[in-house]
Amino acid sequence: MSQKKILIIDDDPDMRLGLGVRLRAGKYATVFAADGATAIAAAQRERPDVILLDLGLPGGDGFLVLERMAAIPRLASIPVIVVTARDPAASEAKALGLGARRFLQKPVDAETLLAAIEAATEGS
Amino acid sequence: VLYLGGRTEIAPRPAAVIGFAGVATDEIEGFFDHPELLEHVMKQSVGIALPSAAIDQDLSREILGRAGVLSMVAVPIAAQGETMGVLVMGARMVSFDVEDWLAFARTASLQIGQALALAWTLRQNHFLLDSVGEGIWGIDSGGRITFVNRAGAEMLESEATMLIGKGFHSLVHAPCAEPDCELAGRFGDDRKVGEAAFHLGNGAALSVEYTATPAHEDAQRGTVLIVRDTTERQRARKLAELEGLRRQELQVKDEVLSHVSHELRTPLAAIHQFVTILLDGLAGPIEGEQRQYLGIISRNVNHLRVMIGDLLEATRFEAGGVTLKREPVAIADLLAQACETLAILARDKAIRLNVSVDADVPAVHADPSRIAQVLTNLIENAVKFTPEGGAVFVSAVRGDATDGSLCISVADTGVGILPEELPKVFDNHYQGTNTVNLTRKGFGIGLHVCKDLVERHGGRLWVESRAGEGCTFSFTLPAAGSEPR
Repeated sequence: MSQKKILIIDDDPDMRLGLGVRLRAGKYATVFAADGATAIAAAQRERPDVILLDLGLPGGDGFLVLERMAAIPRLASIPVIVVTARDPAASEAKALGLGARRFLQKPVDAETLLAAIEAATEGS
Repeated sequence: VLYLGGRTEIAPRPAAVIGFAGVATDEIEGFFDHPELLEHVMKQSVGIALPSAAIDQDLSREILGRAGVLSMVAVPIAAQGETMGVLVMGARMVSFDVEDWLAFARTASLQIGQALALAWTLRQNHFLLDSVGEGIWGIDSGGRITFVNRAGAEMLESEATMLIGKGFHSLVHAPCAEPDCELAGRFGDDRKVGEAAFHLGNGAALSVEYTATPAHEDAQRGTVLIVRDTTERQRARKLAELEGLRRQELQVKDEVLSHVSHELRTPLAAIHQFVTILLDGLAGPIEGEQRQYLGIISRNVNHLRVMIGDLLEATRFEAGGVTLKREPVAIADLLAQACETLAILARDKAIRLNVSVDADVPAVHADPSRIAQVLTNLIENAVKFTPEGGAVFVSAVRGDATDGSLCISVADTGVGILPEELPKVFDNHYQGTNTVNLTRKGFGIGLHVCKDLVERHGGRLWVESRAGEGCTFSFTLPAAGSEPR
């Protein structure tokens, strides 16, 4: 089985580092984007198996990234898991409506995160 | 004898016995209660005299015989265009000129009809005036009440008969000494519309809108005053204003807290991330004391996380933005899930979690996620307040036999709560400051929310405790089918 690749889109370098360490320990390969503007290009270039997406991003927020991805056939099928500190009451329905698979609120337990990624990659 | 009735029927009993020369009135009772005769006069709306060629001779004799008279006339009484009754007169002689008598009876019936019509009109007007919600007053030029309808009398918490003849102003403005007061009775010659406040002698106050219309009849000059009690409306408007302000405030609070919680969660997420990375050995082996201290950081991070969540939750409860999604709930499953969630917390403190569910617990119709929240909260508190090596007992039993409810209890073996402190534990933001030896504070928001949730389900949440012997939080849920719709 080839190693699955996860694209982590988060503007907080601490978060990118931490998620990277956690996911590599879970035998995933990791690539990163720090803003909405480069996120789409990174997704097209890297063709990740799963995307972890923060919502508060410079250069186009997470919702915009979800919208753009849904419009690009090659990217539309990549499962996106939203990982954000935002209030689910205000954002979860919108994110899921734009095609996100899951909505996880930070801080996220490692087990929850890994289970969500595993579920998203199942069958792919 | 006067018979009165409705449109098609005449009451069989006489409405009035007008008089009968030389005969006791009770002797006449029933004498003319002859349905055929009454019906004939009623339906044909014609007067008849007996004996008469117009009526069958046998019948005529029978009617006269029963009444004990030798001759009689019966004429219809018309009021407001309808036959409303029959006037019957009898005589113990036959020497009358029957036609004259009939003419006299017709005149009498006409007058009775007019009197009846007037009485009905008056009654109808009274009924109409008493049916309206506005107070209607007739006030004479001296400011005295000449008429008041029911609503008007009720506004003054009195009865119409008690008010007639009294001065209007002194009744509605009990302490008023203002000579130019707009309600002082001089409403002038123009129609006037205004707003005022009534101050009654008993201290009650009303907000009113009124219309004063001058009324002149012959030499009489007066005013018709129509008054609408707007107290309720004013109160409702004020309440709505306050409610609007409260909603606005809660909305702002929600936005602020939502923002604050986001801002707090971001650094917290980083701390959480790296503490768990270290604890899981992803950055190299850790041992002994290091593990213990990192565990402490981790627990406190989790505690912070829960508190941040509670902040928003509590505001949203206050705003009433919680709707229950009820479905059949297996309480044993919910208990198992709650205990599983808290197993780590309990294990860290070497606390035994004992769960027992009676076989005959009733089914409940509840919102599973909300009840899970209550269970988690209560069990988490119990674990928190039980010293290391203690035990927490969770049980679900059928409630008292009468209502067949479900009763869930969570008992800890902690320090307990002092009796005077017990009623306060469900207060918003209660901190449990007086609980002896408290190593961790902060079960306030949770309990407040729990109680609200249980009550929204139609249940009850309470606490029992003896200081030094732990406390027991119990709540009931109505059995499925018995909860209020």
